[in-house]
Amino acid sequence: MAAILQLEQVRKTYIKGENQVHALAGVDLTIEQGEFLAVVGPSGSGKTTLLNIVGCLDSPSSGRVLYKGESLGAMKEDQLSDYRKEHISFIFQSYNLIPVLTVRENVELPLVIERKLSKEAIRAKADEVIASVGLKGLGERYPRELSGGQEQRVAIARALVKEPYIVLADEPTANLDSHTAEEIVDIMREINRTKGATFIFSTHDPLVQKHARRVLTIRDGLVHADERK
Amino acid sequence: MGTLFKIAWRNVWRHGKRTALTIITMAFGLGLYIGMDSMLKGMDRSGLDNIINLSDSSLRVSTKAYEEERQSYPLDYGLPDPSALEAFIARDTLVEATSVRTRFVGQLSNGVDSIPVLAVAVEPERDARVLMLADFTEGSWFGNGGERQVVLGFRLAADLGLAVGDWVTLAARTRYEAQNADDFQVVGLINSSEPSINASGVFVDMADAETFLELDGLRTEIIVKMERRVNLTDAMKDSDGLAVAIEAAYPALDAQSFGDVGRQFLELAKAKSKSIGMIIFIMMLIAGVGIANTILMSVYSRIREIGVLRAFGFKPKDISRLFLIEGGIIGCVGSLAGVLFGIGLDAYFIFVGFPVESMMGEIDMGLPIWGNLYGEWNPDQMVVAAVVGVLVALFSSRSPARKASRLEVTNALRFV
Repeated sequence: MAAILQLEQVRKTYIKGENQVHALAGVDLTIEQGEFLAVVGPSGSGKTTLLNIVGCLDSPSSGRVLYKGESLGAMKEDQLSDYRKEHISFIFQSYNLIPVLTVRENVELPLVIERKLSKEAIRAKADEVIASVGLKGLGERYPRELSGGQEQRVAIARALVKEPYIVLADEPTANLDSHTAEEIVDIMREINRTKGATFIFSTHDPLVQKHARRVLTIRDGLVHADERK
Repeated sequence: MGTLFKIAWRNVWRHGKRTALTIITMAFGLGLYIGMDSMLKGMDRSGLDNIINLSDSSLRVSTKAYEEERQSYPLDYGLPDPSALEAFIARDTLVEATSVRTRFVGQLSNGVDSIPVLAVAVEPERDARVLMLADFTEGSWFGNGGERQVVLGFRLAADLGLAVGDWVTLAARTRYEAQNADDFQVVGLINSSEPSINASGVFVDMADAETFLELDGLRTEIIVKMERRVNLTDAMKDSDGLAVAIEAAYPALDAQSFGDVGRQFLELAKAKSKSIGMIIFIMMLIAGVGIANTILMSVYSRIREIGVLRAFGFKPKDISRLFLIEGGIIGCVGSLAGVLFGIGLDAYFIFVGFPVESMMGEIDMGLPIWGNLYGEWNPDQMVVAAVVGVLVALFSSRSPARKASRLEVTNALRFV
């Protein structure tokens, strides 16, 4: 498999008062297309920071991030927005659906932002993805009318609708009961298998770790272990 | 833009009470502006109508010497050959009627109290063709009786405790400086839309004044009624033209056109408009602060949402646009509501009127009208109000929108 993302000596330092906090202390990492990768580690170890940097939500203090061999470091704010729009999707722990949009509109949002497809094509695509996460018939509901599990399915549908190369999921099962979490992980695995999307999770959930094909352990801002199954 | 508008529109109504309060504030400010503008326009029109119909007519001609001492209303400077002058004026095709008047200073007494007055001797029938005082007279605008008659402003009569049918003593200095006094019967009381006439108007028949003041045909001024024009500027131009022609033909005369008087009046009115404008500015400032606060609260309550939109590829300028659209929506709806409220106020003022008389009672507010003040439609100002409303809303939203666009994505996503 070709490397889709490469991190070279990536460091991220935050200033908190008079102290410097090294969230990432020199991470080297290569992620291949189609991976189902879990990033694990104790709280404060740098998991979320790593995901933020990979997703171009944050920039490293030093080091390089390369997407398909091209450095993202020189990109300006708008270019980073375009990069995220084109290649990255996010699944958040608290779903973060847009409350004033219906399920369908939430799912359509990334495609609408992308502006590549016609209205009809966007709608058809959204309906297809909504059905694939088991929410057929709920397209006109608002997030407030859904359960937590349903909301996370919508979040997954939203993340997958544009068929991005990389899906970043920050604790996607943390707010779900074990049964729902199992279902959600199954859906993501299925999409990973059929569509070849790269999944990178930050997680504490043993269930996600169990299903991941690669588990990266972060400790004190460094890659402590990198286990491939 | 469609999605931005959809998100903005729904978010505006998501906090309905907050938005409604902002819109009500804005609508109240704009509606009041439109209503007050209507009243000011109505006041201007009423004031100008009063000038033409009740006090000065379209044109007033006297001698220059008389005008120099006008404050003392002297009987020393009569018009030379008033009939010939009236004939000259009547040659203008726009002139509909003329009449002569003689003003004098007197002392009016009810037997107990007496007050100084500025009185006017008129030829009742001819005067009524130029001015409309007769239409506002309760009782009669001079009858056929043999007694000397006087018509008074109703407030002056009230001050002296007089009613129609009562007798009053008028004392004055004659043309030849002799003191004279005689009893006049009050035959009419004027309750017009011109407060100064109501408060101090004293009118006597020219026939009585001839003997009472030993006038010997002395007439201090000619008043002229010209064809009514819908357009104020045309009316002013007509009277200006005639005034110039009169002064050219009679260099010793002073022709006060409606244009001269009207322009002075409008200058004063403009000053009033400015003070109203200041009040409106303050109101719009309050509305602007309200809108800024509403948008800012909206930003704070949706920080995570902003983070999500940024994560999915919204650019900072898209976020800024989103909140500007929200401000614009509030501005448009607020302006629309304001204009509708303003139209409602206008309709009330135009068809029902503002009851200056019953509201103010005896208090003289210095308004150029009396009775009911009626408003005027002013569609231009409605458009201005609506545009100002939207601009204020957009301007007020700028700062919160910029703040939203500058949020760090990671901080926004972490925000609880």
